[in-house]
Amino acid sequence: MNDEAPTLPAADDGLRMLAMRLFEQALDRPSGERRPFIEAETRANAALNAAALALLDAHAASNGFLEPLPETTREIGAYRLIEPIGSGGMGRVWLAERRDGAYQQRVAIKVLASLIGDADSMRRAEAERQFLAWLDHPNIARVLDGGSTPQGQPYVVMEYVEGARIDVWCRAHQLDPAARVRLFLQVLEAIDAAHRALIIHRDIKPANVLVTADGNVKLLDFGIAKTLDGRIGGMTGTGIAPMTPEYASPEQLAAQPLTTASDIYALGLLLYELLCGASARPHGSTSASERARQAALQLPTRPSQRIDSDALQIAQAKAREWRRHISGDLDRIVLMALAPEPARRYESAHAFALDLRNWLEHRPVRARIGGGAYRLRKFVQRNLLATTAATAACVALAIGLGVAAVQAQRAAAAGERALHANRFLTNMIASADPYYGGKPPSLVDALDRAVTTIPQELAGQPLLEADIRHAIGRAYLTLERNDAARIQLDRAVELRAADGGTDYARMLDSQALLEWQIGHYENAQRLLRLALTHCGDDARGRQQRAEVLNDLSVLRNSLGAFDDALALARQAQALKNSLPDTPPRERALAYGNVASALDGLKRFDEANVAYQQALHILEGMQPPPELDLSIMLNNIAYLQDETGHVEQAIAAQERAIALRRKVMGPDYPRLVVPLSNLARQYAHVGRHDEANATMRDALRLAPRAYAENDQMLGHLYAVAATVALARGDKPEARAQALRAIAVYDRAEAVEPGRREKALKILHQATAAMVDAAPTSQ
Amino acid sequence: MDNVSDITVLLRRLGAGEARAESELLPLVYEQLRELAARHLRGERSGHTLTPTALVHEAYLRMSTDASLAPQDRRQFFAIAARRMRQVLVDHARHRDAAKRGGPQREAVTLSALSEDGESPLDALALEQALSRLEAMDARKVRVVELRYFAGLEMSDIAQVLGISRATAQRDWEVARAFLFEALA
Repeated sequence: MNDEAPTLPAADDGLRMLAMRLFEQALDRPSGERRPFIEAETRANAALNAAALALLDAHAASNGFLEPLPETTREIGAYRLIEPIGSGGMGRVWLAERRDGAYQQRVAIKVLASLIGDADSMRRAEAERQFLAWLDHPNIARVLDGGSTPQGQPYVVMEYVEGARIDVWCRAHQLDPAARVRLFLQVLEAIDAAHRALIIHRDIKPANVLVTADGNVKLLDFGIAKTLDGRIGGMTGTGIAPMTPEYASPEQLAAQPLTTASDIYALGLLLYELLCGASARPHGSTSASERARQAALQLPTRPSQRIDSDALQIAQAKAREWRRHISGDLDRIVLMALAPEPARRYESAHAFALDLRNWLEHRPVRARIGGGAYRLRKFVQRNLLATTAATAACVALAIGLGVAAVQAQRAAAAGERALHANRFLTNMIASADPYYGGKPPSLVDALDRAVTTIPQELAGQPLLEADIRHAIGRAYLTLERNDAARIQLDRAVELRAADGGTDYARMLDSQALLEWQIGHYENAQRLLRLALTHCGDDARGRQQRAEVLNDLSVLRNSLGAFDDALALARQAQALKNSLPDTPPRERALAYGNVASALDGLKRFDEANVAYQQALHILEGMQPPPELDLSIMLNNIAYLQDETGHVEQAIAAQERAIALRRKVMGPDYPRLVVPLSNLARQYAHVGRHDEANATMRDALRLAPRAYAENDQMLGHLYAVAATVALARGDKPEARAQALRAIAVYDRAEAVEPGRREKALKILHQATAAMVDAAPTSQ
Repeated sequence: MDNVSDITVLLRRLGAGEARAESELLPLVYEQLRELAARHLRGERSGHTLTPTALVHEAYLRMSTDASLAPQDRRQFFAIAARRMRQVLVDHARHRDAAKRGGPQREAVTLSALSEDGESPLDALALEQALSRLEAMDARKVRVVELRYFAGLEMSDIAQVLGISRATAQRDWEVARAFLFEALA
């Protein structure tokens, strides 16, 4: 593989292979027998003997070779580790103190030692730290700091809680059921605070609930557990396999998306255990799926029937007293929290607490009143646009943040903090959704939440703030959250305006895309032209200029100004060609835009040549750029249609649509145009059934694609009218033509001739109807 | 720009069981890693050691902003990134050698996983050569090395990625490590 390094001794690879197999067999034996085994097996072959023994020696010497650095450090960040105070699946927890001795403070540091290699856990650890930094509650162990060790192990510095597990504490203090309930109310308060901050704990169990000497509950371990779910549980379907199956809700065991209701369930299990000393679930070796099945089918036995006097360390007589005390309403409260269906549980930790207070104060409890009171959690209605666009928006954001990171590096002084802020945002996107597994809507939530934290995160760094707002604005733009995009982009532009330059141009370009998207073509053009004046003369500036020219060309094209569009596209192409490393895709798109403008000018032969050049470049790319190919094929189909090669047009269009659906899903709104083109072509060659079906598909998607005053919507109705007219459905043709004209009348700008075309169809349809209905006049 | 979008889409397709997506992913992931490495090498301060694992993680962070990627897709990503990381290291080492011959050493950064005090960094090219030889004998062992050394995966994750038992993964790792140790001694 490398002709520069010295050649190793010419080894007999056959011999090496034999030696390796032998060595492997030797490894199956206890270490003392390995050498004799090799000796015995290689008695007749000195070379093999030497090779196999060399491997055995290497095996002994290679321990630690190529391994990540061992954890030798006893110092992490500003802290000195004192002693390990816990360990487990999540890594190791250390008692530590500040190294500088600035003030006496003992902390607990959780080092995710076993998780080198899990980027996800780093991200989540960081997210946890950020979330908990906001979550300041007396019953939740405070997070003080965090980061990664030089070896890349994430760690979280937390308030060190000197306390006992809640069950141990209750036993040691001989608390009666009412006192236990009162203590448990503190747990509920903490969880309620967390839920209101949209954090779910996921791993509520006695070991994570400590009580300090003065009787204050402290909850530990927010979030990190969920980091580990996917790794440890082995139930990788959704990555939410529970950390501690005994305390997992049915939905958790079934690997379904978690909600706050899962925490309510775990709280129910905890209270159950506090009240009777026994677990609501038989521990044991049944599989997770079996436990899930059982938990989903049945309520546990009432806690009053499960009083375990040994576990509670109470006398038999006392146990009878407890049974009387708990049975009835307290049983009902616990079992309501343990309802198999999440919707039948208390809707919040607060509601759970209220009912426990009812019990403490001898008022009727809700759990008795029964079912009607619960509220079904309403999940956000997702439409298909959100689903498909979310991926794209993630991408837009990743790109934007990538750019922001580069910016940050350029501003070396602020770089460190800026990168941190940047990463924070990325983390946010990935882990902000407390209902992990809910998928696309989480992006919107995460963006919304990220936006609110920018002021404090990026205070005093206006340029970086601009870049990040720009990135978020672009993401909103992709999600078609135009109002939210406008807020971010306006602010970004404002922050960048004083400095001007290429970055400013980039943001103006995005603003233009927004205006374009909402149909304000004039504004879009103005912004693009303004952007042109701000692009720098260096390579990056010229690249940006090429992009703006490109956008402007496409915009002018869509407005029917083909001369302009052609000139702009050629300028963009020349600029791109003058830049040293223009990627093939860019070159292809430049050809495509030139072709499209030529097409508009009806210079069909030239257009076809340019299209074929673009297609040729795209088809040569690995992997195939499916989206670009689909767009190019769509345009080629259009051209071939115009020049009378309708069958070729149909073939290209079918291919274009198949590619687009493959990438973006079957209901991607932007399929409207290719579908309507195809419908028109089918109609043209008399394939009316296909035309009708395809047109319906396009019309079905239209409301998600266009605003009511978008001229594109008018074009679509006009095509529908044409298609209907072609198959002789005159009433339908007339109705669609009228809709087209209505849109054109509302639209801000309309390509010349479009309205006239729609009117013509209307007249044709109407005339034909009049002809066909002689009695009407 | 498109790389990132393609990667997201491809990871999903791979997750959906489309084997072809992997071969499409490889060049993209390579490109991403190469860019990251180059950026680090330009920007980081002198003497800083950058581990391949850290690079792979950063690549993952940058490319996987979509929280809905399933764990198996994540593992797939690491499997792919590990292979590409190996290539990045080799390319980087070659580049560095070339630069050395061309004049004063222009790099202040070592891209290596082995930088314990006093020890010389691992020779990426020699390692690559040894890996190639091992690959000819037992390709799976090389996969294990890639996942462990270049992507820093835990043994149980490696076992899952390769569809073998953890014990087998561990055995492969020990054998491969002995082989490489001897080859590089």
